[in-house]
Amino acid sequence: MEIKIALAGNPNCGKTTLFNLLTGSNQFVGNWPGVTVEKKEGRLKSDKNVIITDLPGIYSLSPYTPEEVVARNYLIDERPDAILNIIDGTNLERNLYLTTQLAELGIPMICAVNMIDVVRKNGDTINTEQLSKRLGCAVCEISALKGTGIKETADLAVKTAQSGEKMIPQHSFCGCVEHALAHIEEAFLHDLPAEQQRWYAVKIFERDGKVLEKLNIPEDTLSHIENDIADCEKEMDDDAESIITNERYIYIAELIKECFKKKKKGGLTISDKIDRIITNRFLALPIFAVVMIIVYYISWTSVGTLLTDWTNDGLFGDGWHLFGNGSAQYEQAQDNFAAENIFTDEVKATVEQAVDADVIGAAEILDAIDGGAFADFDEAYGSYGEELAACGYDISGIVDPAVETMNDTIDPADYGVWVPGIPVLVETGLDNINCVEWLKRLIVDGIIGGVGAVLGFVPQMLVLFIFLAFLEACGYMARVAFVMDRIFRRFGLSGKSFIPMLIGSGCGVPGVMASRTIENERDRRMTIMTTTFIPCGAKMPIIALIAAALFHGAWWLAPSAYFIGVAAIIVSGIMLKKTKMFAGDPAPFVMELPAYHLPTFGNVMRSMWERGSSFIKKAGTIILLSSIFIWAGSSFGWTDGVFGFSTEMELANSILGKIGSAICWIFAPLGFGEPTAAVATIMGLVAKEEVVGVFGVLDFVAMTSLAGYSFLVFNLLCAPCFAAIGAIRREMNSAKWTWFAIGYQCCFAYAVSLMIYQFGLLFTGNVNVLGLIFALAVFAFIVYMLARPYRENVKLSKKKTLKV
Amino acid sequence: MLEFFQQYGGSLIVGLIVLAIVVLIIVQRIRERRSGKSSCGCNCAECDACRQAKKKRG
Amino acid sequence: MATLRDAKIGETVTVKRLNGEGAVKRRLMDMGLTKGVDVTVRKVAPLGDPIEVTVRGYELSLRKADAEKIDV
Repeated sequence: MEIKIALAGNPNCGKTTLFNLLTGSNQFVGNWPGVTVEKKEGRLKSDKNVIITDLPGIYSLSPYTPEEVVARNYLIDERPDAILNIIDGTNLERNLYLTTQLAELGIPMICAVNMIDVVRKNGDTINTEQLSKRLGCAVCEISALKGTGIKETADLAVKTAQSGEKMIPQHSFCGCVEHALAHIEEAFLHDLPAEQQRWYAVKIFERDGKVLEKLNIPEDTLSHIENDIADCEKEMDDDAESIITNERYIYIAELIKECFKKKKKGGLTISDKIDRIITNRFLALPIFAVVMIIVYYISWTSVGTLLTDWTNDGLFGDGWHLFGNGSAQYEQAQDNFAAENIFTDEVKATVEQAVDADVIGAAEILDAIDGGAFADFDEAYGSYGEELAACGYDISGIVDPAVETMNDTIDPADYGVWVPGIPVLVETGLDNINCVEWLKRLIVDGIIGGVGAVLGFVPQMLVLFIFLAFLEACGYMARVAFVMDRIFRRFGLSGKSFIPMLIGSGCGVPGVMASRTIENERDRRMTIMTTTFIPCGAKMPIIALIAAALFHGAWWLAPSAYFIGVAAIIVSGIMLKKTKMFAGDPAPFVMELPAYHLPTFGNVMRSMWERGSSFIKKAGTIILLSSIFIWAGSSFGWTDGVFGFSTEMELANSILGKIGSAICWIFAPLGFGEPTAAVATIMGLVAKEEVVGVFGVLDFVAMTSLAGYSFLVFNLLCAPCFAAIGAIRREMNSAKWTWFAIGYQCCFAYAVSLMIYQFGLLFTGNVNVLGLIFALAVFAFIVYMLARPYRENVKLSKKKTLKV
Repeated sequence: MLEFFQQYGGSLIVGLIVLAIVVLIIVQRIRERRSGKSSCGCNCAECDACRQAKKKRG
Repeated sequence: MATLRDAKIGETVTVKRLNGEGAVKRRLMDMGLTKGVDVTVRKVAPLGDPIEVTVRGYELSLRKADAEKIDV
């Protein structure tokens, strides 16, 4: 016979840790049917006959939130054989509140006081024996984190379940309440099993909507009961629910007096001391800004760039010197050769002419020549050489053969141990087995080109993930929500909307799902719609690519992307709140602030690895497939009117090119009306990293910095990847809303990019009159949407009176 | 016949490997889609992000 | 009637009554804010909202608008 034990307790009390300890890997995680609340079940490690269900963390068994409803429905309908109530020892009073409610269910129960190690460290004492006597059930001491007391508790739970000893609550309410309860039991509940009557009676007394619905009490009995309740309310001068709640706390206060001794604490805890600075009225926001800047500066510009340069140019490029030995000399040799044979006067003159003619990228090439470093020249030439030639300033006649000679004569292997890059290795390998040309190109240009471009950013990502994992784990982020709440509320969002945004900075999918914590329907929808504005992990490579290619790796690019993301959310929040669809009162904000704690090295590493490995896995799968697709699309096309395949296919003639050209005009007002850019943006729907992947397979497009930034912003704000869209669909639970969300995001992205590009053009002196007019119109529209009055009175100024 | 293999053998093997990888990926994706796994790579039980969200539920 | 919103940092007040309805009120009570309990105001966020209080031995964050509903 299988035994069913349910774990119940407050959120944050350590239930999940205990659950993991008890069940090991024998778990199953899914959803409770009909609701988006997680259901966890597993078998006890030491006795496979015992099924343990981890109920959602709840503060009480009220009918107001989905978690509570799910938990109590499970308890009264499934009637597990025992309840294991986990109590946070550092928060005894509030945790016992749930305990009193669980006790009334009449199900065999034992309690486990968790975090007993912290309690002892604080110098407090809990008299568990006395507590057990007063509660009427066994009370164990455990520390789920340290692993103490687990086995004894598990055994006791099983024994209790087997004994079938019904739990009898030891607490009672005041006179008139007990009187009313007795009447209720008599009038309607006497057919139920004895041990269940109490819970139902209390619920009926509280006028619990869901219970009343379920029991279907006849009219006259109801009014009879109602009289009793009303009498009691008059006597206590309070409403029924409050009476019960108060009574519970009175009882608990007694328990605390008898069983709990707090060590006399004089000053503030360390957490408090830290908080005095971190959440200080004036310092909090600047501190947050500084923290973010540091995180991004280190992970992107300094450490990250170092590593990413190696992966992009070395590992997935031509090659690299082992341990960097010989690189300096090799580069010097190249520079010397270049000074004589590549940076000739003729070349320089041509480039200078191109600069005067305002050819895109000419200035970069000129700077590189003046700087004398061949590596810089190579990069600039690679990006913009074609553009130069197209405008009539072709320097390839001199440069290309010179470079070839240089590569033939100056061998990097002469300067140190040279490890060829992966593409080179693979190509050589394939040549050695006589691989056919097209397959070779598919693998080297397509797969390795695309995947390599994305994987090249892994080092930066990992560094970033470490930082983010640390900040989340130590508890800082909860403070940020606290700090952001006021700002957000102004704009129609609650501080709770900040959490999804925060999570969204890792991946949009869990970010969107985190919106479940918001009870208010409209706020929830709005949060879902705007969460993906925050740059997610997958969008980082795009930022990095634009930063490296067009902004010389400027450190401010990434923070500016975040700033734009947050601004987009806030602006959207204001605009939407003022429309009929979203108007309404801001949701209440009540949140617990856990103490700071130093996360363990293992935790941070594990978290970083989780994210990192999912990033890499995505690269190896979706990006790989997409890269093949792009490669195929660019290799099949029409040469001289005949449809066919060619590895030398001109982009403009290929299928992809044709499609790209057909749609690229849409993006022309935004500055990036080229087929490749258009295709890249569309492929961003598959996965945002694929934008980089496309540029890895096809060649990067010559864009001005302004156009590049506009391109970046558009890709940051427009519709997210399919996976995220799927999450939006699931959370919105409505196709109509999903389409609205996507449409809104794309329109918003278009509007912002348009403004950036057109106003930017103003500053550089190239004015596109028509474009400017449109941009101004869009700007005016947005200002209007922001400035117009709210539809409903948003501020809560009246004190609402009790409705009985 | 033999010379066909001599000339194209290498390519065939490499091509088959690539094809196998592609098929594997597609199959894995479909399986994941069925079991409802989200693309963030984690399942909600261990996902730090989801846990944060549940904790903040207040 | 003074409300929790009016309390100053460092002040400890006693809850006299909870206004508001349904889910909001229940939520506040579930977190421990009931008649007769002592509440200490710990800090106020930048820009004045929300506020952090200590009640029944732990820290809780509340909006000023919600604190307004609590008579002290």
